[in-house]
Amino acid sequence: MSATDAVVAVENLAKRYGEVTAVEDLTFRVRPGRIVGLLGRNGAGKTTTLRMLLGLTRPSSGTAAVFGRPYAELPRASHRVGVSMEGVGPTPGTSGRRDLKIWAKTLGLPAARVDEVLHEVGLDDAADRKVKGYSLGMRQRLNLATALLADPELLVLDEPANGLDPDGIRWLRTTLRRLAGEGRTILLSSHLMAEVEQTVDDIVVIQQTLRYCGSLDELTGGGTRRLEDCFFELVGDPSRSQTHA
Amino acid sequence: MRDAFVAEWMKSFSGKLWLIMVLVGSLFSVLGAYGFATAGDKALAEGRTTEAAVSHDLLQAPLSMLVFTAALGAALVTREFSAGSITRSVLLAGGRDRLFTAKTLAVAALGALFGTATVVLSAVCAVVFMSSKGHTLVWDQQSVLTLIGLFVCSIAASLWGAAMGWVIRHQVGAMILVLLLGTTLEHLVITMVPGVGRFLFFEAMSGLSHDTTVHGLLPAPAAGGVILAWIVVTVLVGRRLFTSRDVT
Repeated sequence: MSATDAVVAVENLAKRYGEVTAVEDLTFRVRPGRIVGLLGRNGAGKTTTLRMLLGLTRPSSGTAAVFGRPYAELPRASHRVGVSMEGVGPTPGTSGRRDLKIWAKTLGLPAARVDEVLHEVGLDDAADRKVKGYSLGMRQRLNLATALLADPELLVLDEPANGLDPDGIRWLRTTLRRLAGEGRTILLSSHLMAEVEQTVDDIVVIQQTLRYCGSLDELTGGGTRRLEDCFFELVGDPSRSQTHA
Repeated sequence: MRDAFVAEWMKSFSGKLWLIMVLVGSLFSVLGAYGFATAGDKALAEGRTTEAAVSHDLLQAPLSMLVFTAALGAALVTREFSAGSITRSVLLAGGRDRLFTAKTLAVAALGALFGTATVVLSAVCAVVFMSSKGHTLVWDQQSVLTLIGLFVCSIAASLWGAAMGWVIRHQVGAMILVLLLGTTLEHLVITMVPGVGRFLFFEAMSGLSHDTTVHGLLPAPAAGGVILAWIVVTVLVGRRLFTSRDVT
């Protein structure tokens, strides 16, 4: 698969903050219509990689492209790529509905789309409550609703399962499968092995550098080995691993 | 761009911050106007001043509202960094330049709205307090220029505050700095070093609004030029920093 055919193409990507290396020489591609799990420990560089992919953080070297171009140069990027990033809050002082209305207006979408995505993520009943009163799980749902507003081809989700209760996790898994079934590509970062194992088609494992990129089946021998065991083989002994803030 | 502008306008009125700024700014303005009316009444009784002079003092009393308008401009930018919503704004607005332009336009429009409110407040306070002391408000050319100055300065304050927000990117820090500059620091500088203080942002706005209570201010045309220079510099620096630094 060439870089231009890939939905996401990361080539020799690196990010250094002074003496600290967050990501080093990272190369991987994401095929269309796949759910891809970006795995790594806390501080392995997952969020940094996604932020470089989305043009929020400037790489020290290398390139990252979505649909063949850097995000900032991709026409209608905000309509083609839906994003849910950890640490991204709502507009201060808003209810869930008003927050989504603001983003829908930013995207030039009709207000009716807000009700659709609220229903899709199961926030209809809480839509008019202030977001600051939302639980972490409800915020995750609101983030996903925002990501879905423009009906994007690619979803980039940073730790979408964090804060979800068991019902929420099951809901997320079903939702992601349904979205992928509609032909969307999903790139999600996580450190929840069990959850990822049940959700993704392909795996990218990073620990500053790339440790694995390929199908889940290949990695786990068609399910004969646990993903968690494979992961620790790839990233090594936790006591000797290097992490950054 | 229209959608991005409307979205930024909607953000401006999310939460209670704008209302708090209006109420606090109005309170300071009314108290200031009452103080000028009381002092003016005494001075008139002693024959030390004229109704026209007291009228001009009263009309420029809501200058304090401009400090809160600037602080609101700063907060509208910096609170996005504090809440983390700046990341989403950048991603959905179609680029940093587009977001910067949309927010700048929305903040300018907000400044115009606040400017209109400030002018109305100024006129109402002047009429009410002059009447309550048994005097008549004098409407002359300087009265009109003062009100025009207040309106223009409100837009300028909002723009400058927002630009400071892009530079500082920290809500509490930006608001404290803007409020301190507007209420204390610049007054100290113009009192101690008038040759320098008159070129500071809020003192230049006092000059443009024909503030008669502070000595050593620039004449209105020069003050307008200084204000414009401050805005251009801070907006250019803010834009440069926003488009070149990582969004965190």
